[in-house]
Amino acid sequence: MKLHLYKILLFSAVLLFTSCEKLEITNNERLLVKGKVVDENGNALPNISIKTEAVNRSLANTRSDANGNFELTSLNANTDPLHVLVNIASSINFENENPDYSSKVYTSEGANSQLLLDLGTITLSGLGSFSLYLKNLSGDNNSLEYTLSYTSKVCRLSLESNSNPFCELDQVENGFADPTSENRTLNRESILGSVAVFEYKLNNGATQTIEIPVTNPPTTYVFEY
Amino acid sequence: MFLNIRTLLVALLFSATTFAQQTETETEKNTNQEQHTSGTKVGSITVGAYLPIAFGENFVNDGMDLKMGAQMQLKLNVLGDFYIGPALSFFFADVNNRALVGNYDEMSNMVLGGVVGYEKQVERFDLSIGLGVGYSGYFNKGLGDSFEDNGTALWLRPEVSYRLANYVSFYVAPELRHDFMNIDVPSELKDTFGGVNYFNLGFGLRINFGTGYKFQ
Repeated sequence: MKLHLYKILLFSAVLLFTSCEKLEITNNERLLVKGKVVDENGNALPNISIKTEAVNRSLANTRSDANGNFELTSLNANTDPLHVLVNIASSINFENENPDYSSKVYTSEGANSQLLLDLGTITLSGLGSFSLYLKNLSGDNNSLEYTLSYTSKVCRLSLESNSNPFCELDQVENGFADPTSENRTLNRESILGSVAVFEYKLNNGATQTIEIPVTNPPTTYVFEY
Repeated sequence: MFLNIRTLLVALLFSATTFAQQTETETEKNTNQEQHTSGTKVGSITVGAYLPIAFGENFVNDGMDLKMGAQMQLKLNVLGDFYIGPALSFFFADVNNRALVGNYDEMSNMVLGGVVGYEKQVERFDLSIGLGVGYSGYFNKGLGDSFEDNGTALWLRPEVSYRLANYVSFYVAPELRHDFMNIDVPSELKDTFGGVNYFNLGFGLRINFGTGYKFQ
């Protein structure tokens, strides 16, 4: 109940904040955003949503055609960063619109100054997940320090440079568990066919690595310490 | 005898009256002709409806539904039949293709400029042709905000007006107009956003100033 209340309050605060923020559209300017959406095998993905946004307001939107191609004319934000959202339902919580595929978000550094945004071929991979169960064995007096790295289902890229277009292992979480810690489960969505990397140190010992495959249905890995 | 005299008197009275009326009419006609040739034509003002019709490949024709507006023009005769004057027109539109023009809802266009032209009277008609140039603003609304596109409008506007009374006419004016837009776009969109073509239609009332417009 408390969690729900907290979520409602947080959502209301986000809405209030975003509705107060003013969007300034650049006069006398239009952008052309174009590209092609394919899956990890290179097959065209039709009907994928493509939007441009600034300050959480849609400046243009369209869908990829039967060949995966898209082209749209967009307005531009005068001072705020511009986002190009591929397969994103809403920029408030960044949920994938088509739940079978990953998403990409391209963001300008500051106000966008490019008139032509040719995103080239955008690969959206299928989605999978994994579950890591950290089990604290009673009787053992171990402490655990770990880093979990995996590929996000929402890949965030810069509009200016197209480095690491697949966002490999772009999500990194650090954690610590002592002998009194409760068991915990880490459920994460990621790219189907990728691996999550679990690096850990037991009692400040040497770092060891476990690779957890991302599958559909999810792989559950139990780690006991 | 008395009957003959009465008949003669009636005949004389009728002929005298008729002659007098004819003389008065001719005098009036002469007076009017004199006024027509010697009166001054200061100018005119036209106020009326403005029906915009865009054509060709451009963002207005391909991405908007145009709605009626209004226009106003002042003509000041400066050199014989030549005139100059300011002109104002506006119209409204709804966006129907957001993927083409951008994600906004409404547009209102306003042109403010000047006209140079030539006008000639033929019977009850005033025929004119004017060349105008001015600022064309496209005021766009949507997303809870407004922004502007603008350019330079150039138009050719023949006008036919018919005098309903001495100083009041009805006019019809087709207009061929091109807006040279200032919108920055990549080369792929130059054809769509570089300029807009219109064949507009205006009609309404015209008020004439100066005794030179008096007619009858």
